Amino acid sequence: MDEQGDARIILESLEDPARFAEIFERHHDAVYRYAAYRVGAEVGGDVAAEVFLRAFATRHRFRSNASSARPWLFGIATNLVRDHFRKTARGHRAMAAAARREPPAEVVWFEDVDSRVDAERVHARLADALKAMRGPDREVLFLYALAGLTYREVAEALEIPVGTVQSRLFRVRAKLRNIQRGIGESEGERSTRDNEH
Amino acid sequence: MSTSDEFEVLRRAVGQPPPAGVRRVRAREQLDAAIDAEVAQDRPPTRRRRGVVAATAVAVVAVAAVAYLAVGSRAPASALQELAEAARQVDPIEVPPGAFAYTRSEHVVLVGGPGDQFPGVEEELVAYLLPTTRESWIRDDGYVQLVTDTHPPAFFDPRVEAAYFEAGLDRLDGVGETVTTVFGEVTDPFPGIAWPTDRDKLEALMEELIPDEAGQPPREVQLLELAAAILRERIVEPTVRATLVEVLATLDLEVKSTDDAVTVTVTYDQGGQLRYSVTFDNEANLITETTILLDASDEPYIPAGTAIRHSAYTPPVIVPDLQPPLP
Repeated sequence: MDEQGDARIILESLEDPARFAEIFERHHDAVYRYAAYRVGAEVGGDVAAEVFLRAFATRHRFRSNASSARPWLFGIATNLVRDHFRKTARGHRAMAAAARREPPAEVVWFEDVDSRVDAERVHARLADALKAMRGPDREVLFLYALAGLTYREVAEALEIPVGTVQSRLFRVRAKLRNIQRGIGESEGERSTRDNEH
Repeated sequence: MSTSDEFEVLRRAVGQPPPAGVRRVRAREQLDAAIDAEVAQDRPPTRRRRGVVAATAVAVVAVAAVAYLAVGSRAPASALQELAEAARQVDPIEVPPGAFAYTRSEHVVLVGGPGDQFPGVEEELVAYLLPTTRESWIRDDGYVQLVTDTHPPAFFDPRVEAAYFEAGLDRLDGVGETVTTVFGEVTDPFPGIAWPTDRDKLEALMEELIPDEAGQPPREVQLLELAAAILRERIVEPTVRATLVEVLATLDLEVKSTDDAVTVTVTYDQGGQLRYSVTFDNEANLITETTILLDASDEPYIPAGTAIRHSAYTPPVIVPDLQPPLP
């Protein structure tokens, strides 16, 4: 993809608005996937649509020296997701539901997981961990791990320093590693349940 | 480097959302309508922005200098102190522009999953060990190439082994395959961090980077894991390696040394007994990392003493291109 061309296209779209459709074609699916991860497919579709409407309406604010429109678009998407969570007050539940979503049938294996947890437990733990995560940590996690933005792009999207991104990611990574570790925890939980019966 | 990282589990667990499909069509229609409306009004959104926009803020790693507070006296781990001193004597490696840090490594990871994927296996959960060999080329600008060979797994139960191949799970794991992966841009897990060469400052920074929350492994484990992560498959200045070792020397770790290597180990309870060891060569390069399950697991069946994660690395060397170093 000619990421370098995003700025040029957006600039040209000020003269020729139809040019902005190219930005949509380049980035819609990635923005949609990110939004769907955050709020589910249905709302995610609406969020993605709104992202491009807002981006189109405010394209004069796009920094012409930015290498890619991705941080800008994902920043708008993140703000819309925040708005959605605030409005519905169901953000955490939606997050948990997204994380509990059944994986595709062929994805049942968890490589690099030095644990004896099964898929369901991993999902439940991820959901719980995501619920418990601080909002800013969660945003960084989703933008980096699921939307595929680089550290620098995440920093631009959220308008925070790269150092903050990396420290948040390090914290999140440690939490996820803890879940994967889970060996003893699974056994511990099982023992506790057994004792209760 | 943690490219096969914890986030991969999240990606796999979350899976892919359904395709945008009709949502995409609707979104495009809405955008087209907005474009048409603007064209009809012949009104661009507002004034044009031209010229040079203020330079993007340079990424600054904000590292608060946390005062180091010595707590009690620390018995020096002499083997680690000697290792640190030896590392300080090592000449730094000059990395020519465009050159790569090359590392060859061998890994074994525990793979777990539901037993119903294994024909004829009744257990709810099964596990096996999957070995891989990896060559990595890492360039300063963030470019990374990984070439990974996946080898036949090792099983704890012959029934699971038979069922694994019967179900074709070896193909899902990519056994016998070589996969080349390329990453661009920022791939350093700690981009922009200048690791201090003062022990107290480095320890303070490392403390900042580890979570201080309930449920985490003990501090010693986290700091040791972080030290390994800093060194993994990258060219790290000898003085930084030495300082890392000095930090480790302040921790309550079991230390064993030979003429060629020093191994530090911590045993901890994460709901079960685990033993995590890291070995350095005599220049403080990372050589191995191993996590051993000390207690047997009934389901999935994992014998006591199994190395559920093991990595062995060659010290990184400089190569001019994406080829292994000459013998």
